[in-house]
Amino acid sequence: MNQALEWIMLFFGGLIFAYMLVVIVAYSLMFLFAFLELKKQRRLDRRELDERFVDAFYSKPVSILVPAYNEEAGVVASIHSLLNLDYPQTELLVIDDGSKDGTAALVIGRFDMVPAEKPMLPQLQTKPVKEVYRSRIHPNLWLIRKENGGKGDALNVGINFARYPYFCTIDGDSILDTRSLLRVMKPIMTSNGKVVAAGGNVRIVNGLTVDYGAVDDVRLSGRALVVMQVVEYLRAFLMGRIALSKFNMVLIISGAFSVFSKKFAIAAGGYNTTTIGEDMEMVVKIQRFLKEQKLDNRVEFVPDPVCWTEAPQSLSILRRQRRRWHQGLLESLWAHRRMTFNPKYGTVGMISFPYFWLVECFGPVIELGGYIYVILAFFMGGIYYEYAVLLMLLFILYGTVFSIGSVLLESWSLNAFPKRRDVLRMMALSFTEVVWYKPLTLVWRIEGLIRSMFRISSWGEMERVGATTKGASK
Amino acid sequence: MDHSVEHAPRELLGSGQVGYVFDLLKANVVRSRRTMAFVLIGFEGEFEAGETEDQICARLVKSVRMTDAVFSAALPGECGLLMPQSGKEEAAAFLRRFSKELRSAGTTEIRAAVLEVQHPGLSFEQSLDLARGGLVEAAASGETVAFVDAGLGRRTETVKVSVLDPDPLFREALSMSIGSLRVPSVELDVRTFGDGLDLLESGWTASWHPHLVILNDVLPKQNGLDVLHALRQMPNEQKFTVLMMTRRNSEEDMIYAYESGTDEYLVKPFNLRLFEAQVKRLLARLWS
Amino acid sequence: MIGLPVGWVLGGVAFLLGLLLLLTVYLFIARAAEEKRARRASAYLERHAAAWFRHLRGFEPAGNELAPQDRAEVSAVEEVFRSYLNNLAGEGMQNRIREFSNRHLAGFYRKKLKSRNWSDRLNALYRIHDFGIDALAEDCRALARREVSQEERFQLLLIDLAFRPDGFVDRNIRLNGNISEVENKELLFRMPEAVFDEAASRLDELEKDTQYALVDVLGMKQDLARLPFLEKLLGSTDQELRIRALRAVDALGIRTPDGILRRAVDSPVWQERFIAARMIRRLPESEALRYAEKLAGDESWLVREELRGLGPALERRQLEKEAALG
Repeated sequence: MNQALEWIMLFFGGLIFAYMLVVIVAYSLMFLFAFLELKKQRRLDRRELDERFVDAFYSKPVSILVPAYNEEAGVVASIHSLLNLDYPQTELLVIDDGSKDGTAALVIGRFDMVPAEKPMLPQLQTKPVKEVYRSRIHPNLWLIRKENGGKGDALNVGINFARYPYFCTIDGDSILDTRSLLRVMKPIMTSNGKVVAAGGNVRIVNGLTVDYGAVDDVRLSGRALVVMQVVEYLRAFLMGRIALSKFNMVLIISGAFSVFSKKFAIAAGGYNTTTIGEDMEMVVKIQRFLKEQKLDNRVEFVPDPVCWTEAPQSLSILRRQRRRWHQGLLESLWAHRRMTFNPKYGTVGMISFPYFWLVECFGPVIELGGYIYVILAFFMGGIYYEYAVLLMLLFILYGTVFSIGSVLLESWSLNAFPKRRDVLRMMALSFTEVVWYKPLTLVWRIEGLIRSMFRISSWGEMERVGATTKGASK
Repeated sequence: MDHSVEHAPRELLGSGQVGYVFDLLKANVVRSRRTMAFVLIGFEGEFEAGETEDQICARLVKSVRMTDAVFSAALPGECGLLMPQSGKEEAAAFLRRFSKELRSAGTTEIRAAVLEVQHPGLSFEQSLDLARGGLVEAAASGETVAFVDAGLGRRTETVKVSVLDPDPLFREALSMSIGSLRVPSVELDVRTFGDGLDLLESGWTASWHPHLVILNDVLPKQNGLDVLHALRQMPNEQKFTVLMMTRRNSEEDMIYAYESGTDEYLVKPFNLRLFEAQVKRLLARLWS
Repeated sequence: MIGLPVGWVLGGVAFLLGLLLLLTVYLFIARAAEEKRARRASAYLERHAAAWFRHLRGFEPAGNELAPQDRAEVSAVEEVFRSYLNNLAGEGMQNRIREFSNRHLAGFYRKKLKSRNWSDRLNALYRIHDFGIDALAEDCRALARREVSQEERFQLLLIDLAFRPDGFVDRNIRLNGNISEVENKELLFRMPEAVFDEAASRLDELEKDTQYALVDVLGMKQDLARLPFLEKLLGSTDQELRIRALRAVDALGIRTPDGILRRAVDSPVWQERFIAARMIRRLPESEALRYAEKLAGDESWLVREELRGLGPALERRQLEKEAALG
């Protein structure tokens, strides 16, 4: 009995250590790449390029799509920030996805809108469109009302109505800096169209003063829960996106702010209207399409254009968000599971997919196992006591050290939070992360994991086939 | 001439009424910033075709526009005319037409003095005296029309100027550039704003002063089109003259800006001297 | 057995945390210095903004007090120049900025050009081009002979074009292959007339991408005198070049010559018919309808969509014809 227990403890201990080591090595490498990249660009005066591309002659026009479902609270500020973008040619399509609140009435009233006609090319199947409105103040602002069909469906409607070759998706509650669109378009413009999708950096807006869609003063929120999320976003951005982008292995660019080539988005089958994480699904589909057609186009992540988004302030909403994210992640990975370790898909299949499966998808299970292990080991005492200590140290290394490192690196290179107090507060909270925030999110993510396992098993064959054939179709 | 209103009673104003009408029209001059011409006509020598002075005045009443007022001056051989919203050029053109009409009717020759009323301090009696002096001058030099200057000029007027641009250095530069302009009888009160919202919330737009708004199309919160829309919705929107600056060089944008009520459109980067010339012209256009 | 790793890991974690602490201290010191520089820069601007206006507007020469004393003040002067150059045009102003920069800033940028930091070098190249610091032309040529990044390469081309337009095409005709379309367009757009003419006359020698960019730029320039040149390109064997030339003709905004239009309407390539459909809308209605009839049943949705504005008139004409026949 004791012997067996010892073996079990040893086995799981070994498993958890091995996992931790893999993750720590991976993170260290990504951190290093991020550091080198940021060190190179740190002092660059980005305004120079901005000004060059502001000139209408060289820039490519962009259709901005804002799907809105019950966004009464944030949509007007969001539209203001998009109207004030420093970009030569845009059109702004707000897609009201059958909201039940006064979203449409508010937008129509606020921007003096009247019914209008807008040419559309029905390239993607969508729920029916009800009405189209156009603003009398801003001629490039449109509102499209349609029957409820989810975010993916709303975006597909937007693609059908979009007039320009590139489209940018923004969440109805997000805000852009005036130069953000210009900067996220930069890789697309300078790459001769080789870059077919690009995503920007998402930051948390809570605690900042926002007025008519402009961020007035960057200050850190007073809430520990929000600050923790700020640190989490920073870390995700430094220790994932930058390095993955360097090697064209990006699988996630946030749907809150991304740009796609319309041609490629349509070729990849448009947005999936049944999965939960339609934004990740889109990127995976595009990557898959590119590899299957043997194209050398790229998906890029751009560190400096910023999109500000509202983060959940309460535990219950945060829980729901994380559950959904994890469901979306697993469903996308599952739908395209054939890409895993498939040399046909290059680095995306050989590195990104395994990494996402292991670290992003099933990592929480192992990590939570680690937590349980530590507690058990403490109670069992003796030799396990040392196990527990060792594991705790690794947790600290992996959680706290990387978090503080990220805060420092960000502060050194981009300086999003200029106040010293804010930096210190983020670092102080990083110390406590291991004890409360981390286990909480782990539990939520596992919840999402379990849920989507049930969902996937209830999907039936048809749904999955649909997703794969769409991805592969020309 | 509008025939539908021609049968409205039109008479010669007597010396009792004319002072009142003069003051009324003068108040409008100040408010609408359009000068009024004060014309005094004198008749030369004898009335050949037997027409009386009253008959000529009556002929004058028929010839003038509906908006003009004819009055009989106290002295014989004189007839007066108030032409609101007209400068001396318009008055002179009218006088040429009128004297031709008299000549073809075979009646008397006329001489006239024209005075532009701009300054609110100029009274009816002063104007009349000045015009009489003009008539004497005209007679001496043999000209038909003499122009008289009241010497008061226009009352110095404050014009508000708002400069809106997100770039603080540039908006200060524009403000200094406008500050260096010298426009007669205009005093400029320049303020700069970094955003449309600042201007609209400042209360700076509330007074009756003529207001020149120089704004960039892209602004962080309320952009140029928002501000333009808000200004044009205000009850006394005519007081705003709007000059829109932009980096976008597309015809579509330009047409739309004009349709929304922009008076001038400047594409950045522009020449500072061209800008100054344009501002000067916009300011000069305030009076006509 | 595991006593050793615990000690090691403990040491490792402690070491890393200590390192982070040191880095934090360093960061805060660096930031304090940066803030101090920012304050110095804004104090400089406060003091001298009015004098800069008077100088750049041409009212007075630049006084000695305007010369920047340190890095902070250099960045303040940069801000002034950038702001003026971005928003204002005028040869006098540009010359004054060039003169001042050559005298007071060239040394600073010469050092930056030799920096090992990519951002620093690129920033210096931006400024040299923007401010027209021709005193550093030779230093830039020296840099161009070395291995440099894509961004620097392009910026060096811009500088070469600005300071030595004569022979630019000759020197760089083979280089243009590895710069992007946008960059190609920018170079072509910035070329003085004579240089551009030379590039156009040697179109065959240019890389494909550059050829396309050149035709696009012709359309943007809306120079009617180039119509014969574009017409010649319409007979090219390169289909992409033909489409772009047709688009450039359309961009001229004139009534398209009948020969060109007729050929475009009958073209087997849908892009050409699409542009033709757009051109038709500039014709008087009766003529437009003649062409529109041919395109009305086009297989391409975009072509038909482009003609939609003419729809009712087209139908009316159809009916009239039928009535006449019947």
